[in-house]
Amino acid sequence: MITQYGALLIYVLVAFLVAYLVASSSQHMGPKAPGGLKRVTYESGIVPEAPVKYFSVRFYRVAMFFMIFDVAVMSLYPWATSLRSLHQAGMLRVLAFLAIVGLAFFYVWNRGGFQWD
Amino acid sequence: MIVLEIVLLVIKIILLIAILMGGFAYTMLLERRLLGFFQLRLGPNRVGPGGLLQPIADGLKMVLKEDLMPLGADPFVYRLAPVISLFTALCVDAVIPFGAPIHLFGLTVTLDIANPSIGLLIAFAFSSLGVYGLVLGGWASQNKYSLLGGIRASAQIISYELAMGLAVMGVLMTTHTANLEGIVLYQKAHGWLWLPQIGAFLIYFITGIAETNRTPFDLPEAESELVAGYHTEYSGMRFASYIIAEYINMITVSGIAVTLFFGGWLGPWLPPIIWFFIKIGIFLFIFIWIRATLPRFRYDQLMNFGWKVLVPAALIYFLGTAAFVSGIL
Repeated sequence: MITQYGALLIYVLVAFLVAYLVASSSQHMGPKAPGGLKRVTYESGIVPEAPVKYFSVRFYRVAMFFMIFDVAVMSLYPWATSLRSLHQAGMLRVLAFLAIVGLAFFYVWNRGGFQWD
Repeated sequence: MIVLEIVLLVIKIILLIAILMGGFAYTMLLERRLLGFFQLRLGPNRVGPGGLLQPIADGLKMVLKEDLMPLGADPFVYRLAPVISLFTALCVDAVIPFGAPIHLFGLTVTLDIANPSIGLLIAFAFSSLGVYGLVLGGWASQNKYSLLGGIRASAQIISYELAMGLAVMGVLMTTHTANLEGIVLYQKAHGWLWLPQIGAFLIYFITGIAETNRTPFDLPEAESELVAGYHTEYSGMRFASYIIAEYINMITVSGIAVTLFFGGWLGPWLPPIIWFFIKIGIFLFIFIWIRATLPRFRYDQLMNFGWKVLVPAALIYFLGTAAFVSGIL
């Protein structure tokens, strides 16, 4: 008897193998003609000077907000599948939880955290 | 019995990968032909009858290209990133039921690889992992365009994922399960969910377009600003892997939308699996139609729309559904 997760695991391994074979196929089958400026990165005709390392800190901010609010949302999934049998009591408790998350959300909104300019 | 199960599993795995790869090839051809018609031209119609062999010609051309790696790139991450992208795109479809269970040799065969009780969560988990392919590919290329494209892609995808997660929760609350087959069976008994969950469906579809980086949310590969975004430095089949992943993600988003809101394989007269593919085809046509019609968002519009419109709208619809299901109203 193969369990659901066993089947999923086998599929995931096969999918990784297929993805690897597809992605690396032109490495084995394509022509190899090194030389020239082929391997210089493309910057619209300018020879790149400094290594690329940095980007705007605003993207880190987005990632942090995502972490905060997505964990809150994901923790609601088991609650959502059993809400029908929890009735009003389950609803009221989650409203209390969401009030705290909502407070954080509107605090960030007011401080301009979601404003991208 | 166990041998039979393993044989069936192998057949299902081969079929699913073949369907996804073939689906990618002909979705791309369909898109190029349809974009041609939308722009009053013919599109590719020279290779084979009506251009039907075009995907094969494209694939051959891609395989026979030189595989380049830019100077200063991180070799391991540079090679790994397209694999992650394609791998996660292939994995999401493992839990989507393509048709009603069929009876074969005394076994009940479900038309999905696995059918765990947390199917929807597994699908979302794999589709979230896809971000790593884009951001690592952009970072490892040592190119300013690639880095910006990769970072933009990750910021956009995680911003829209929040609204997507909230939107589908309405379906979970109504159907009382996260098992995708259970959701379809609920719709068989109680009617399709797109009408009672119309707000959730619209939010899901908008975020689905954003998650697959399609127009009007194709900022990560905005060619007028970023050349080609995160895959600027990729060539040959590594470049093709990103494209395959994008199209398979389109099929996946359509498949999940059909399963959650449009009754999955349900439908009169025709066999269930045909209905499933017809519904996916309609969604793919809408994807292409939107691409042919709408211009691209500006980046600040995109981020503000995601956080300030979609998340609150999804939250309000979620609370409304929760109040209704729990019996407060």
